[in-house]
Amino acid sequence: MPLSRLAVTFLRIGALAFGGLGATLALIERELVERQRVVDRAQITDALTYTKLLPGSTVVQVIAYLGWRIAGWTGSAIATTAFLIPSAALMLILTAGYAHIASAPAMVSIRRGVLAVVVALLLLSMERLGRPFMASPWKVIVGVAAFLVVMALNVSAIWAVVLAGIVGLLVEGRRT
Amino acid sequence: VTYLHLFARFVVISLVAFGGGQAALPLVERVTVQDTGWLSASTFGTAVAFSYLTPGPVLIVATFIGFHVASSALSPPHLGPSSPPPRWPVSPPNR
Repeated sequence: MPLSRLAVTFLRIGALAFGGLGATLALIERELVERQRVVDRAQITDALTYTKLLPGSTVVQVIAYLGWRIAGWTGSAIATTAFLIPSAALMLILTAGYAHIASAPAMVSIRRGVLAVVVALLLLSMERLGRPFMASPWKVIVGVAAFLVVMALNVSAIWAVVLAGIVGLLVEGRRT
Repeated sequence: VTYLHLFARFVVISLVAFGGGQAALPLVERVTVQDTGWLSASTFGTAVAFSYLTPGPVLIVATFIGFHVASSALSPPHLGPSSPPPRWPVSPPNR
């Protein structure tokens, strides 16, 4: 696959990747597995397995991995950049526009409605994430402890994450 | 706030954001709203709403936050509820 076509393909995926991880993975599969036939399903599964070990955005890592499978390190760099350009460009436009009209009365009203939906969506995604993560007693204890420490003691959430990682290593690491 | 602060905070978020972008949103909120006060809660909510509107990963909120921090560091803050009197629409001059 020539690099220019790689760039165009990932630009298009980036521009159409609405609706979160699941919808984006379906789009990637349609575009790269069924239409262009440059990767196979097993490689997407591999990518998902590896990204579980890494911090950061899952979609971006899957894209970086598939770009690497298709055309090596250059392919990975091009794929990742091309995938992020539409998203970042659109966000910049929205942000710059918002800065101009943030205090307009209509915008204030719109924002009130939108914020309610955002809170609901966040609660939903936390519930979905929480179910598998809160599967064993020690995880629940760590979760509750982190909540209390961050809420009551006003400790930065970053320290809570780092500490929880160490606890995870001690508890699960000993078992294996 | 300098660009270095901004960069450093987001590098740290990136390093500890296990579990994907959605799972990292509360962490971004803690750092940019609670810890540093760069954004108000409702501005953060707007940023998240925009990230749902745009294609691509939700962590693109970083673009919004970076823009917001840079513009409010350079000029008086004009975003969020604590903003000075509305600049738009411009009220008609008194006659």
